[in-house]
Amino acid sequence: MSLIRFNDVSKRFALKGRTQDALSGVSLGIARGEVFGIIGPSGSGKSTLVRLINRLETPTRGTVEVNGVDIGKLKAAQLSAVRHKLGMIFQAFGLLSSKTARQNVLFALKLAQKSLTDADHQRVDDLLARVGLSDHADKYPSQLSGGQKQRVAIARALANAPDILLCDEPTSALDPEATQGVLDLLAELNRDLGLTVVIVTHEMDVVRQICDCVAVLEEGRLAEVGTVAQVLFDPVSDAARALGKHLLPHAPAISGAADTRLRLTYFGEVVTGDALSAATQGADVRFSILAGQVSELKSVPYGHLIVDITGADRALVIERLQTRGVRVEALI
Amino acid sequence: MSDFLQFFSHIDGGEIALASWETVAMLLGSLVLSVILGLPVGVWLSVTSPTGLAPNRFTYGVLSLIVNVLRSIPFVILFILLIPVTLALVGTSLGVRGAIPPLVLGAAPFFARLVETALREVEHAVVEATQALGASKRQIIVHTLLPEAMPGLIAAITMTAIALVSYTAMAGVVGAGGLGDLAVRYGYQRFQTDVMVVTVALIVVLVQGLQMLGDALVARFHRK
Repeated sequence: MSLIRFNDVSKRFALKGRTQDALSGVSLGIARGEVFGIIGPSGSGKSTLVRLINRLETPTRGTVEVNGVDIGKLKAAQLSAVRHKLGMIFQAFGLLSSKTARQNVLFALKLAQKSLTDADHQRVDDLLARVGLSDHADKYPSQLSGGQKQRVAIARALANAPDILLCDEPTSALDPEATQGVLDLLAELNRDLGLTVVIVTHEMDVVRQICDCVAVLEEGRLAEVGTVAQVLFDPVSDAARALGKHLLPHAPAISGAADTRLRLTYFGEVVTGDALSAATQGADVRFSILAGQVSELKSVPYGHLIVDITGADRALVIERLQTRGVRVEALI
Repeated sequence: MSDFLQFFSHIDGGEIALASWETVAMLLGSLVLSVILGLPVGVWLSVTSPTGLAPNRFTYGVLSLIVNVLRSIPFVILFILLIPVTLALVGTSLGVRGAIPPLVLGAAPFFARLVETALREVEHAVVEATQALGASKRQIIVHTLLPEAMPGLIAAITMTAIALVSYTAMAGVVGAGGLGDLAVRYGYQRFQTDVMVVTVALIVVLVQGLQMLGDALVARFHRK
C-alpha cells in the first residue's frame, strides 16, 4: 500500500479573474521508504503537487491520502498533528532570521509540544551534528551559506521525527558543491532512518542521483511515472525524453552507416566497455565507440554506450552482449 | 554677546521646562496607548488582507475604512470633533490628559497601517515553513510574524512617535499645553521670537533623539 496517494487530483488557481489549471487528474502512489522524485519544467504543477501532501494547498477535486488518512478531511488541530510528522524543506529555506540555527530547530519542537525537556535540547544538538552544523549552532541564518541554511532547514524538518520529508526544489538556490552535499545528506537520511523523501526538482540529474522512482509532470498532467531507470532509458513521454536528454550520451551526427549503430546499456558492477571487449573477442567485427558514459543511478553504476558495429559476426556479438545482460537496441 | 542675551530676554527656564515635560508626557502616554491599540488592529488588518493568513474581505474592508477615515481627518479637526468623547473619557478636554484621547485616535490608525506593512514584508517562505511545521495561526502570528517583523515594527513605532510630536504641537494650539502651546502663545501671539526659536529647537532635538534611538534599536534587532 502506498504511504502517500493522490486520487484523481486537480487544482485550479484563480488569478485576477483568470483561472489556471495547475494540476489535472493526477493519480499517483508513493511507497514507504523510497526517494520519490517529481520532475517537470517550471509551471508544470510539481510544487503544487508536493504542497498538497501537507495541505499547504488544497485540491479543487480529488483526494490526497497520507498513511490512509484523507488530508482534506482533517480539522485544524488534527492537521497540525499530521504536519508535525511531515517535514518539509523549501527552495528559499524559510528559516526565521531572528533565531539562531539552534533556536530554529528548537522552534519546531516548541510548536509541537507544551514544554521542552533536557532530552529535547539534546535532540536538537544531535540533529545539528547529524547535518554537520555543530560548529554553527549559534549563528544566525544571515551568517550561514546557502548550503548550511538548507541543512538547518533539514534539521528543523526532522525535529519532530517525521516519517516523510517533503522537499520543494531544495537545491535550486544552491551552488553545485552545496547541492551535492544536500543530496548526499538526503540520501543518507533515507538510508539510515528509512525516511520517505519526496523531492520536487526540475533537474533530471537530481533524480538520477538520489531517486528510486520518479513522476514526470507536464502542464499539470502526469506524463509518466516509473523507476528512474525506466524513465531515463525508456521514456514514453516527450516530457521525460526532453528532461533526460542531456544526461544521455549523444552520437555525433556522422554521415553514412547510421543503421549499424547500437545503444548498449548495462546496470551493475560490470561496465559496458568490459562487456564489449569480451563480446568482440575473436569475432569478425569492427567496432567504434561513438559516445559513452559510465555513471550511477542512486548508487547503482550503469554504462551507456553508442557504438557502431560492422562485420560478419555482428549478430554473434549482439547475442554475446545480450547473454551478459547488456541491453542492445538499434539506433535509427 | 549682550545682543545675543538680549535676544533671549523672554526665555523663562521654568516655563520651558514645564512645557517640555508636558510634551514628553503627552508623547509617551499617547505613544504607549497608540501601540497597544494599533498593534492588534494592524495584525488584524494584515491577517485578514487578501494575501494574509486568513483573508476576510468584509473584516478587512471595514477595518480599512475606519483606519482611512480617521487618517484622513486633519488632526486639529479630529481634536475638536472628539471633545465630547474626550470629556466622557477623561473628564477634561484640556491639558495633557485631555490631549491623550485625540492623540491616540489620530496616531493608532497610522501605526496600525505601518504594522500591516511591516508584517507584509515578512518573507512568505518563512510563514509557509512555519505552517508546514504545524503551527496554528496564533503561533504563526506570535512566533513568526511579529519577531520576524521586529525591525519594521520598531521603525513603525519611531515614525509614530515623530508624528505624535507634531500632533502634540498642534494639540498645544487648542489647549493641550506643551511646547506647541508655548510657541503659539508667546512666539506667535506676543511676537516673542526667542521663545519660538527655543521651542522649535527643542522639538527638533526631540525628533532627532527619537529617530536616533529608533535607528539604533532597528540595527540592534536586524538580523538580515
